[in-house]
Amino acid sequence: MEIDELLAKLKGALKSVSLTASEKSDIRRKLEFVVDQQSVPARRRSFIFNPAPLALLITILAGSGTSLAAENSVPGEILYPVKIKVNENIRAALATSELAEAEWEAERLARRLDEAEKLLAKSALVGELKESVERTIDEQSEKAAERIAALETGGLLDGASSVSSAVEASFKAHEKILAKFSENGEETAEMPAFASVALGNRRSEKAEKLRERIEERILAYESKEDASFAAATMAMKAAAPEVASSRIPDTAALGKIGAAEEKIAEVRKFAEKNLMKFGSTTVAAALKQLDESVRLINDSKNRLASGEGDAAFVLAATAERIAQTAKLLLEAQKELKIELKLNGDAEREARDIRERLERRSSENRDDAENDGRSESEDHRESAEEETED
Amino acid sequence: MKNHVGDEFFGHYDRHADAIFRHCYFRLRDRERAKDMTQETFMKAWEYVASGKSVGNMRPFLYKIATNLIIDESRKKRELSLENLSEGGFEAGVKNTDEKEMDVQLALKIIDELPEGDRELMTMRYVDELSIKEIAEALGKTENAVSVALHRAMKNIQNNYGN
Repeated sequence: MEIDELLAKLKGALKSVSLTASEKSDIRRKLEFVVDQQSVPARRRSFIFNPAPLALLITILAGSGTSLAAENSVPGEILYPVKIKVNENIRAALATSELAEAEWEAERLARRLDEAEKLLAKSALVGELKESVERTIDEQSEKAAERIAALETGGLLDGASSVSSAVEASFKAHEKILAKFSENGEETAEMPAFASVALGNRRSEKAEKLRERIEERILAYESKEDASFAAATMAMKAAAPEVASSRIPDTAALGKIGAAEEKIAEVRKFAEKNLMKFGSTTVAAALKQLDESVRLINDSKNRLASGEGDAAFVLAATAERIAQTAKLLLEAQKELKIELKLNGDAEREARDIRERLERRSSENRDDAENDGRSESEDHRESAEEETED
Repeated sequence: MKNHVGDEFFGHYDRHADAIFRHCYFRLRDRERAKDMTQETFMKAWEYVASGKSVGNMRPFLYKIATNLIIDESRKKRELSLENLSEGGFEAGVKNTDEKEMDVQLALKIIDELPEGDRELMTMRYVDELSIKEIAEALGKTENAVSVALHRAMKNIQNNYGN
């Protein structure tokens, strides 16, 4: 083939990589909004989840300051329906990919938890209101779980894991806040303090289980890959095809590392900026959590360098979650004017994930030893595994 | 004033969004992230324009922003092999025997096998048809350096795929 011809064909083929018409107009719409502001446009990457321009968008679309004011409302207040029906529907409409939709449902859950906490702080979480708030939390938690399941089914395991991790962080922080209030004697006739703590506990355990299950799927792929090559190919052929597609790309691990580092920096800044408000004990505790995150990130980078992208991903995800939980607790501390204990959890979470990875590699070693057996034996075994599933 | 500037800005968007997206996509190999980057590139460009600063030539300016954003986001990605990167996108290397239609896969394979810098140069020059001067401006290099690098990249392709 002549070089000119080659280039012409190359060009034709590569030009076919482009935005779809709807993607293009979708981005345009978001830009139009920013341009319409006449103010300084969004600085941060995530426009959708950036509250400042978002609030402006809501203001413009709702045609008044009402919906902006509604953003801070809680159930039972006049403006609350505006928050739910107008503001949140606009945001939902802005989420265009399956992942963005799932992230939004998780965000919405965080908002419901936040409202419950605000009510609790005002000692207003009682009676029917409490019932409906708790019901809404469970419903929203279901919705988020459905979206996560959809991502999982669609093979977006990294996305599913990230969103479930965010849900878990929200519930974990909420659990601590509930515990704090119950310590303070926020007891109601309908639900004694211990019961509400138990409920919070159940929810965060459920979220943790979901996240762990997704991570197991992510790690399951690599454990096969790490075994000797012949056995791995055999196992992959025998196993369901979706196992092969569940491999998450190294770029996803890198992205996660970047996101976790960003989150850590953000929380560090927030803690240090509010040093006077929080007091040095709290800030020191928060920074200690972040140190744990940083160690996980380092582990994650090492794993990535040695080709274990999947392990790298879950380590970075853990780091991100620890930082996110710390951030939520600091924010609650600031908003609700309560003092929360930050210690303990980060170490436990970090230990858990490290142990899990350790178990996995020892399983792989066992597998490798088993490779000494005849091939037919291996084959039979993988066939059995298949029928067991 | 605002409308005029805004209209002009959206003119640039309509003309260059696909090329910027492509530019991001070939480096990130991830459609969603490439979309985000495209959006952010234009956001940043608007931020610049809205602050009252003037941009001589918008096209290389956009490439420059996009390139910087990608570098910021994936500084460490260089360590990854192209093989790993392509996992996020297309399955490269599937050959189609149909001679009339050159397979997109093959084109991507060729592009894939180019060193990263060459890939960028080739797409800017031959797919999106930027001038040497514009490329030099976008990449912060001299026109001479761009010409030499392009020539070398072409030679490589010719050696590997030409007759």
